[in-house]
Amino acid sequence: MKSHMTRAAAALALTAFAAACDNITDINHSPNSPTTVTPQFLFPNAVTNVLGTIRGGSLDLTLTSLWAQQMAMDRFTDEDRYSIRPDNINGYWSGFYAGGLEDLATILQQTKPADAPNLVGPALVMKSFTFGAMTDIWGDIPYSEANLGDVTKPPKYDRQQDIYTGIDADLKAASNMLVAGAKSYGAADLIYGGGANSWQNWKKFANSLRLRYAIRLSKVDPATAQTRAAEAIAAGVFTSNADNALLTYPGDGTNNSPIWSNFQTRDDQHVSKTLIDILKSLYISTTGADTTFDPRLAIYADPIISSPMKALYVGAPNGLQDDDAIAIGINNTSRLGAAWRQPATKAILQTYAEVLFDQAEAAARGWIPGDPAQLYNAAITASMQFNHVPDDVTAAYIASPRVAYNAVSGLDQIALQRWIALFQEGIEAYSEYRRTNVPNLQAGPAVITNPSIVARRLTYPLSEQSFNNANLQSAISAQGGADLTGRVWWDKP
Amino acid sequence: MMTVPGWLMAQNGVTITGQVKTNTGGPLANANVFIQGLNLGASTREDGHYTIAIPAAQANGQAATLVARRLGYQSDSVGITLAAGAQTHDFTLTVAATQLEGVVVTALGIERDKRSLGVAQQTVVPDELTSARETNVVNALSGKVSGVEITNNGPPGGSARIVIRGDKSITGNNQPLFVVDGIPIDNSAPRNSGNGGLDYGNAASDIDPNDIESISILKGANAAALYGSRASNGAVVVTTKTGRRSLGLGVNATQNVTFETPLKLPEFQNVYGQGSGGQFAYKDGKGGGINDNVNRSWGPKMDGRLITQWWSNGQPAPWVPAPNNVRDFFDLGRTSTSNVAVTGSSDRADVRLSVTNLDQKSMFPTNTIRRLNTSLNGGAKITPKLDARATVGYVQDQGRNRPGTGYDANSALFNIEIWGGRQRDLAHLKDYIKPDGTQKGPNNTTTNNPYWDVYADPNFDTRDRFIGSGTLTYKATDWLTAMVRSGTDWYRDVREQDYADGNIAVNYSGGAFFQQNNNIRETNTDFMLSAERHSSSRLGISGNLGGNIRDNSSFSLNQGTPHLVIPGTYNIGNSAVTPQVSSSKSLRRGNAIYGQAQFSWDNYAFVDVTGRSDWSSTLPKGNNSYFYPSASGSFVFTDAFPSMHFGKVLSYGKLRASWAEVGADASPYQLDVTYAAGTPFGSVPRFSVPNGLPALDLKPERTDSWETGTELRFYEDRISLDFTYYNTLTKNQIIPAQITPAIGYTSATVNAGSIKNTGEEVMLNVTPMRRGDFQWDVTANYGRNRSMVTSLYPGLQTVVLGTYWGLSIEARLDERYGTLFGNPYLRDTQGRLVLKNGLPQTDPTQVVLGHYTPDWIGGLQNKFHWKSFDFSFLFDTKQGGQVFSTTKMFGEESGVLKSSLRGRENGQTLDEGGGLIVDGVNADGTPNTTKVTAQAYFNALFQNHEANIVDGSFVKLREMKVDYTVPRSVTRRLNVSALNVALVGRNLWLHTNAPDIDPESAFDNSNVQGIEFVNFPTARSIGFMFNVTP
Repeated sequence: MKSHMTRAAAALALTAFAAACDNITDINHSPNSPTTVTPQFLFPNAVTNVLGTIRGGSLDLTLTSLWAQQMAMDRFTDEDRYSIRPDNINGYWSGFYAGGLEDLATILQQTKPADAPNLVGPALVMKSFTFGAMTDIWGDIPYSEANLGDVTKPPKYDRQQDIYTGIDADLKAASNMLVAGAKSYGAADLIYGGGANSWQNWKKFANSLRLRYAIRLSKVDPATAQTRAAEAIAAGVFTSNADNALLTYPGDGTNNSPIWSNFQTRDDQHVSKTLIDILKSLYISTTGADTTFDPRLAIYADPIISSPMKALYVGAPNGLQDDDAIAIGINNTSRLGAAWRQPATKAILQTYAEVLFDQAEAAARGWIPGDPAQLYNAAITASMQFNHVPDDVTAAYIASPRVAYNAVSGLDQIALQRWIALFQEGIEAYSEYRRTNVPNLQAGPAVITNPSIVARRLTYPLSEQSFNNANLQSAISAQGGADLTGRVWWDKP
Repeated sequence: MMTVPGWLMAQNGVTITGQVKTNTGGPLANANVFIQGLNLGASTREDGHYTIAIPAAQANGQAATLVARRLGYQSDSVGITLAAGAQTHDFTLTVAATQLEGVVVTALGIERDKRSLGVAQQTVVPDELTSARETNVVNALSGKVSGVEITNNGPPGGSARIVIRGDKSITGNNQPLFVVDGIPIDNSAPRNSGNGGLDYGNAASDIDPNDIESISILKGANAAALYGSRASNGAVVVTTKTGRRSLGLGVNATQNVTFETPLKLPEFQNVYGQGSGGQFAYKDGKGGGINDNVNRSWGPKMDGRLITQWWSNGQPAPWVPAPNNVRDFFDLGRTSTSNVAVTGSSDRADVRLSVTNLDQKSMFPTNTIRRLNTSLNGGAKITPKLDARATVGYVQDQGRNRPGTGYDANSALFNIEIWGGRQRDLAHLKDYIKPDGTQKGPNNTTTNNPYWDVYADPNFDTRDRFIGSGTLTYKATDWLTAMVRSGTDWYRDVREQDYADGNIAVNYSGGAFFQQNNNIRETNTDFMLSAERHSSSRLGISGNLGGNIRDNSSFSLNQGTPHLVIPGTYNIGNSAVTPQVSSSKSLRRGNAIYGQAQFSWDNYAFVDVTGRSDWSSTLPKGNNSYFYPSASGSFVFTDAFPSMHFGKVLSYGKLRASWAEVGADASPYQLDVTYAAGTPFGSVPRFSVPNGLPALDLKPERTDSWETGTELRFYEDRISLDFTYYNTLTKNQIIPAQITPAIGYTSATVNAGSIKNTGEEVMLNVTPMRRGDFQWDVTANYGRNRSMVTSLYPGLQTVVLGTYWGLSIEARLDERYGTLFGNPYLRDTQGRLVLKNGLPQTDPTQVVLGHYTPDWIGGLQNKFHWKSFDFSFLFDTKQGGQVFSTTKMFGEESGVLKSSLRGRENGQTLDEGGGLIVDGVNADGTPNTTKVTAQAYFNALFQNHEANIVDGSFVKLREMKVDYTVPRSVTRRLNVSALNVALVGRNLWLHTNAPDIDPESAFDNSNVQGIEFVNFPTARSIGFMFNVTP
């Protein structure tokens, strides 16, 4: 009797068991995160993510602004000597591709232009903005096969020429598709606010970016440069500082300008001697004892502490050995101007000044009708107004012999003023220097490049050697090498 | 001779009394004396005497075997006749260093005779665990079990990592399953975040060594095929003490105290102080003086010259070294453990109550760890056929001010050892706070005063844990038993880290705090039917059939803020910014059915077969079950062929072999893409695509392993040898394979990868001398494991487990597990260093620079018994394996280590006559003649991984103990039953080629080992222990 009971109990247990087994997978859906999101949640993340990587404590302060010699390291000078920590290069690469670009790619995969043109358009603009910056720094990179999410297909590296063509095509498509009345990002449009007319801003921004990447080809393919530049301008670019593409940080303690956050605890980057000396050289007037410098000097840089009586600006040299940099003394060189490191300091994507300089250059080259001198003056004025310099000072500046436009040296003047106006847009300043060789930067005494020249590009991340080596090696050999002294496609000597 | 109480003398029954002694003369308490087959027996009391009463109904003059046994001793037996009346039998048991035979606990609590096991299994006796008073039971196993590698982290309450037979899982858990009284318990240890964090220990350290009756180590998939997936790395099966030890009431108390000092500290230079290029003068710590914001020691020579210093109020003061500032930073640690256990039993019930209080004041100032363990274990015979047992345990851990680890801005260790100058003395540093509450320290830009980290940034943690179980066993017939057991492991952690306003290294203006709350629970219900039958007298059949329902749930809620409004009130309502809040929940379930059958022939040949089928909630629906079998055999050939005894040479010989397969499922929620919420940007919400690409058709992992071995004993068990060879292949591993981010994700979950582990384990016991009252035992164990990553995902060369400073720890194809992959020196084709401006360069192309997994591990223990004295010492070694030393990299780059004096024997700068000429060539191949300063040289080696990887081999004197059992003559006068005193020491001596560090200390207990991160120094502890039975 007892053994019957035991057997019955066992059988019961087994059946209960079998019944319990089937449905246990139902609990395997994460309660912690959603499995679908709509574009207006991804777009703001993409924008802040991309700008956090390009500007702020990342690429600008630790690489591009240094290489453009607008900022310099006052200690820990490795990056200033072109020795970038491998962890950081890996971080930039994955920060772009697996960060903002993946968010944008998801938006573009999920949304059709016909259904939501004012959602797709800005996404295409941001994608082009990001890839433009990346290819300018690294040369050939994955582009057409990137962000496809297929583990079995590590993407090939596209030639920079093809990437530039793709960017131009995307921006053109974006400009054409943006239209009145379609649904916009609303408050999630962190750059233009998503109001009823924000589509017009995005359209201008798309064309202004087209112009930037058209001008960039001036040496390697002037014919294409001319065609694209003219098209972009005709389609409508920025017309005032109100059109500037900027990301405004709330500055509320949680989302602050990364520049401000960096300088709260560290003081490793000061304004470069190259920039300060140039700004000083473009003085308005001097009496021997007293000189009125380029008004932006006082805004870009803080005077050094040791001379309160008369504001004195001294720049830090680039590319020194660590102990030589430390020996100068941290209070003997100018810090970044206070106006540029506030909690709500904006991150710049593109300004009206740059657009005007590009138009000035196009006019000077005869690609578009227009008076280069007038455009040059307007561009300088736009930059001055952006920095809150009074118009009368600007007028005096433009009139001074060191600044006044001269057709013979016009292209160089445009390039120099543009470089100054691109302050805190590290990648742009660095790319424009490479294209125009203005200003004529000199490599610091302790740089690691061989020969000791200003670096022409960044090396590829070591992680690609591990995970995408075949495509990486093809790209390196197609470019004839990819070390710090190699030149990207548009960077013809 | 004790008189037997009248109520014990059964009418016409049998009464057996006697005494059990050890071969070295003393009485043996707690030995189990029983009649084989009758389930009747008793334990010996403190004086070694026992009494067994057999009712007349069971005694009718039949022959029986009376057995005496106790863990740690060889058992003995005698044939008797159960005739009415009284009889006396005395026993003498010989000390055995390891459990050579007898009953051992195997998977699922099934007790088996060791001779019938076809797999390698080792039992650790409780004395081995409590002898040197190691508070973490995992650490106590170090060096004692072959093939078991323990890595001990430094800080008190820190985690210990245990790996058996090599790492098998690429990214998953490589540690064995911990089971206490049949209930699997949680052994997670929170992974350190980023480059630093706090070490909160591993959860199994909550097991009180005082409660342990025995630990059985099941080493491979074979031995644990019945536990399922989590036991593919082996299992540590713990059995706790019950009240069955003594008849009537028993009390036992233990008190021990040990004192700790650092075993090894780096060697510092005491020639040059803070600064750069030989220059320093303090003004404001922000760069206002000369290099006064530089945290390096490349400054002026500390020859007493007058230099303004941070504490000297603008006046020049003598610039002298503080040679002992690091050594004196550490206090004398003190650990005190008190335990009281009360046991009681009658013939129908038993109970044991034990309370242990651990109070640890660590070497790190203000750091304390307290742990209170309470456990109650009770059993009763409800009816002659129905047994019930229940265990209830409550543990409370409290930690305070755990030291920061790693490259953390708030790590006091980093701040006192690496950042700073060698002139910084503790007397001035201790004055860390100004009257207005702001920080006072030498550096006002990037680094805190280490005493600020200690006093102004406290942290607290509490864990409340409850482990309980209830078991019913019903003996249906004499051959069929049914068992039902249910148990739970539940704990709650609350951790908080507070930061005062005024932190210089991190912007926590207003102050900051972070709090983590975790709730973890696992519940298991098992049922099992066991049958044992002898169909004929020579063939035995036994079997088990059972099932398990398992439920895991965890919930965590974290809150914190980097900025408070009013400093000093650490509450989220006082946050000046949007608080950081996050929470997560996780559930998983598993059901399983398993069965085991054993066939035995004539008690010398055995064959075991098992099978288990699992259903898991974490695999795809409809495809979530997997089945895995095992088979093993054991053959005691000396019993089968008595001629193989070769006279008296071979007293016992056994061959064994087994094969097993274990399947494993995935972590929960691996199958869906989920979007991660970001903090809102102002008022705009943000979500992002995650960095991990999930797998839609996940399959279970499989571990295939086989092993073979032999147990041999020579010359009446004077020499015994246990040898095992094993071969394990783990495939279809569920790994988050790192991929090129250009795909859009940094990792993807794939079934890929296989790791092979082969190795040998040897356990050798020799008793070189046994004469009269003296016995000397030597136990040596050796384990060699060779791992190899044999395949990965197509196109994938490596899976990166972690990266620090550009150095990756990887599972790399065709390499041993745990590869260190990093940047070497730049060399030419002839192997000469290629220098630039006289400085070595780092080759940007990364290569394999070493592995952290050792070549072999071993231990050697000597035990001496003489009358009432026991003296033993254990050496523990790991040979092979490399470690990346952050202490070396940063210590030399900052100029604080003695090794950074190279190149500045004569002066800091070239003008002063300092400098060195590095042996190498310039880019054009000409020999280098450029002199460089030490500062430039060591700066050039920063993040050169080859330069900073050191040999991880070591030999340690792990334990030493002198134990004295106070004789009866004295204890009688003191009015106690038994008294035992011991002098103990742990981690007493270290020999290693690694400079400045103990290579054993690790950063956390994950798979990312091999990086030394300015770890908390290993503690050398010395103390004493009292154990008394009133």
